[in-house]
Amino acid sequence: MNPWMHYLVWPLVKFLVAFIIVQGIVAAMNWVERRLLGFVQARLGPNRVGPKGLLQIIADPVKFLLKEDIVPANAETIAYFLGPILPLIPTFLVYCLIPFGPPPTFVAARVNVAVLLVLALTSTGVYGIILGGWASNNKYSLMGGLRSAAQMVSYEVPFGLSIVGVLMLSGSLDLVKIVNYQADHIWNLFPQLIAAFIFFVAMTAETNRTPFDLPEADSELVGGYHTEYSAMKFAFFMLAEYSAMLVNCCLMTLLFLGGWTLAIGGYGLTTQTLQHMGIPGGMLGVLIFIVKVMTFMLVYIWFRATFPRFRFDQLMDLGWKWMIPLALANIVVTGVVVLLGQSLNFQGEVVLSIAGAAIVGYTLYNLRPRAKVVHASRVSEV
Amino acid sequence: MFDVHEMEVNFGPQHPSTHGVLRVLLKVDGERIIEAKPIIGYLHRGTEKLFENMAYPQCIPHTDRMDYVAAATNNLGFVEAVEKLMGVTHMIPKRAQIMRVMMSELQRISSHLLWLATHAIDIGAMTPFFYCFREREQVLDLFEAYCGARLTLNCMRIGGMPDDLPPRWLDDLAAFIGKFEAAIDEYESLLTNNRIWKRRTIGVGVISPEEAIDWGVTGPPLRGSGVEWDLRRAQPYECYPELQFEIPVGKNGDTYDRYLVRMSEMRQSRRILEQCIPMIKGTPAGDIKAKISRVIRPPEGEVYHSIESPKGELGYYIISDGKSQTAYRCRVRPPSFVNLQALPVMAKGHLVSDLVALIGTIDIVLGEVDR
Amino acid sequence: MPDATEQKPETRTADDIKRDPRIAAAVARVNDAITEAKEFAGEITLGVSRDRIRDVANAFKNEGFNYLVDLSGVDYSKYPGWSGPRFAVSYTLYSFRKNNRVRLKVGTDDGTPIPSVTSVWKTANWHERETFDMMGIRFDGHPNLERILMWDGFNGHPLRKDFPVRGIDTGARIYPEVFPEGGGPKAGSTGKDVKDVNLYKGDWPHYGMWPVAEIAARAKTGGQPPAPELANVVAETAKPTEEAPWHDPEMPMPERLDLAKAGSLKDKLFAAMAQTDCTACGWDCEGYAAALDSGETKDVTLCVPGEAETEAKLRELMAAAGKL
Repeated sequence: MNPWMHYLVWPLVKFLVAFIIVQGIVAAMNWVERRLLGFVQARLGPNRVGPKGLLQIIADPVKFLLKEDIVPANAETIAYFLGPILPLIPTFLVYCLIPFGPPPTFVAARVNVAVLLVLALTSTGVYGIILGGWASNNKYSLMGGLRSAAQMVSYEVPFGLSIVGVLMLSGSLDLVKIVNYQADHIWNLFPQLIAAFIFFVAMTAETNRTPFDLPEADSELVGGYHTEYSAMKFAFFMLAEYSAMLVNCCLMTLLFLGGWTLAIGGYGLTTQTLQHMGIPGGMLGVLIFIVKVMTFMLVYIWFRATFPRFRFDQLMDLGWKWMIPLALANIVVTGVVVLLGQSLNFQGEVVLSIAGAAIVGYTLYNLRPRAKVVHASRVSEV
Repeated sequence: MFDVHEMEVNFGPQHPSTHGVLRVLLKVDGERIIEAKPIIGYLHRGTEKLFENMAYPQCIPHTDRMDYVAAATNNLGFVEAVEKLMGVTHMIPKRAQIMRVMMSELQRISSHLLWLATHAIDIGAMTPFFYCFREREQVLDLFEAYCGARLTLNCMRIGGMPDDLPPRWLDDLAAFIGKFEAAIDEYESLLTNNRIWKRRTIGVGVISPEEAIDWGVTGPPLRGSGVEWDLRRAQPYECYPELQFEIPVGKNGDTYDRYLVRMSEMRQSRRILEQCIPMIKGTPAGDIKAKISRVIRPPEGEVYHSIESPKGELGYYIISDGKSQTAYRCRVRPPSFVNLQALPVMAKGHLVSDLVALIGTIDIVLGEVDR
Repeated sequence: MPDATEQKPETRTADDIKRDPRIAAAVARVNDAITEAKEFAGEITLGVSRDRIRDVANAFKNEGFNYLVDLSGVDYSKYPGWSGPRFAVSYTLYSFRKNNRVRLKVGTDDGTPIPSVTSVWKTANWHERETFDMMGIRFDGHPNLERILMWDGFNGHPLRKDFPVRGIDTGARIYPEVFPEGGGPKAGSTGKDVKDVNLYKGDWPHYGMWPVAEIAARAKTGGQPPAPELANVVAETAKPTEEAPWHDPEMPMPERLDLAKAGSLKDKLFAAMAQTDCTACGWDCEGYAAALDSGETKDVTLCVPGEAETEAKLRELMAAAGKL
């Protein structure tokens, strides 16, 4: 094959297709989120524009485009303009690295250190937020930017550490190999339960979603880093946030839920099976992948409807005092079990899965419904 | 070597969680509050001045506009103060008394619901807001059915009530209170045992009972600090002595205790309303107005009368010169104004996020603070 | 008047009140500072000499009155038959132990400060600030006596009886067409040192009224169309000068009657009204006069703002015309 076609044109075409689909999903997510929140909160959500309010997906961007673009008089102009663009670029680039279906067709660029590259790219998104918050020349925005920076820095560590266990089990940094490993053995969710939990919490914090939405905390910081942004610039921030959510959900699916496969111990829809089925098999893989990703997106929204917001110091507490030690402990335990499994010849995953099941059982036992209402502590009788 | 900079932040007057036009001038070190200075007056309309230039009955609609989320209790405080001044308190018919209690307890429920909704959304819990408004809407519907207004009720008159209850109003009320207990359980299931909610409220804004009294704090904030004092019990008015209810009291004086106190108060208000329905059915229909002169011209003298409004002690201090139909001086003792004064004490050393929780927990209405 | 409330005669003397078990212990501590004792509707009011208020406050606090419910000022300058000092400050105290209130009252003149009680009850802080803001009563020893509801630099104290109800011109730029030079608090003027807030340099008594006439004149001569809301002001201002010159609430009644001297009975009745068009009687002032004149009503007690003065005059005029 022509190397130009192989290394430039095809990846570009794939990227563009992925990009357009992903952006469509991001825009649709807005509608899904609002409708779902409405459902939870005993109200309707957008239902005026088009059937079921579906045209809201188009109406919102149009509105953003047509609104006046206000630049505060005392803003640092260049940084102010860079603010919304910086977080957008890395999240777009990441789409090149994410395999949406069985390779080679459904991955734009297969890199053998994809996990590292993805982590490196997503963590640069915070610069835009800090820059935007500072450049707005608004104290609330500055506080939002600072909060975001502190939050990103503290949650980047457990985010990275939680993946180490997965890497140890699968023995590769290549996302495709990680998925294949899971199809041949078991979804990493089970042996790496704690890691999956830490990963999910950390990625919620990374994307500034409730209950970790402190940088924008509308009731405290008015709007945080995007207080002074309007029109398309604000839309860029929002686009970046939703894109980052989607990227993280993709990562979650690839690392812990077996990506596009639906198999256990090599039985079921593994990558090979899907590849044998040709293009329809690939499409099936993509469908499975998207269903898994959307599940996590819905959990995000469910969180938003349920939780109050953390306070800043509590957020740091959770990150440094709980998540990081837990992630480190997980690495040690996984390492020991894997090593013992190799030398004593047993399946480390099975042991870890049983341990994970025990933890889940214990947690559920602790969360069982109890006597429902606590009244004020002392109550005087008539 | 390290230069310490304190940042001054203007929290308000246009800020989503200052519940109106409160401005708090913050001195912050990072996010920690070194000093908080409330600046008020943005909603000052000179209500007390207007009272001095209007006949007593004309003042009642103006009382609506002070604590505009609890208009009925404002009306009640004013008409009772004038009645006390005229010495006709004992002449108010039983039916009117029960109706007044019903209105003010409904108003307490609606005010507390609004408080819970905004307090929760300030702390980031979005969903309780809509649930609370769902029930508050039903209370407002009841008000609308009685007097046509939903917010500024103007629903009391000196000497009684303006009108008898419309037909089937009591049935609607019974239907509402039948459902309300389950609704409170629903709010509590979202918040009371929620770990994040507890971490955000327990130990935040602690005020000791001694300090609370020294700062003149009343209402749920005082009871949250463990002082069992409620004007409905301490200096009963209307038909409260005949009603069974508890005074919920907190222990630690923090935001969480104040939350629990208000939640329990809603249950108690519901209980009072439940008792009122059979009581009012035993009174003659239409007997809602005392036989007093149509021209309100109280004798020379001065009275201070206060009631337990949802926010605390709402007092009216009226001086009459005995010669005119207007008050010579009418001072309003607004609970929000006095409670807000304790905000700097509560806020010191907390984070900016806590300030939002504290403004919510004091439950201020700026219309009443500034009058 | 058939008032439903006959004031009961005072049953207790001042000394009896002082011996009331609810306050006796506290009074005993500072008996010499209590100048008078009154009782009305079951509420005890104690007059306290100005210099001793802090001692009295401390004494009452130590005797259980640890909650200062309210602190407010009263301007007695228009109180009928008042001979005491112009201002009074009322302290309402509450004792949780005795479940009882008592009121202390301190009189003062314009400009004479009262000792602050912020050191006794912390809650007095904002109350005293408000009293200062609204009444202009100063408090000695207050940690931070500045305006609280009005802005720094506001001219006057709104709850004083000589402060006009309709407000004063603060120079705020309300009618830019008429006052292009504008006004209102300017950048940097909201600090302590404000001299430019009250821009209007006219010589209105005390504070400065709305320059209604000037607004009208300027609108006429300036050649610029007045703002829509201004048009009403102009129309309203023009009215009394043509048909009813007495229709001016600021004018005293003898002057108003003098202007209507030559007119019909309706004009005379009209001039006797309070001229506020408050509609408390059910008409505006002119309408009520017409109703009396035509016999539509015979009730002369309906004018609320006019009070006894108007009522007496109306009765006199109606009786003279033989319509009562």
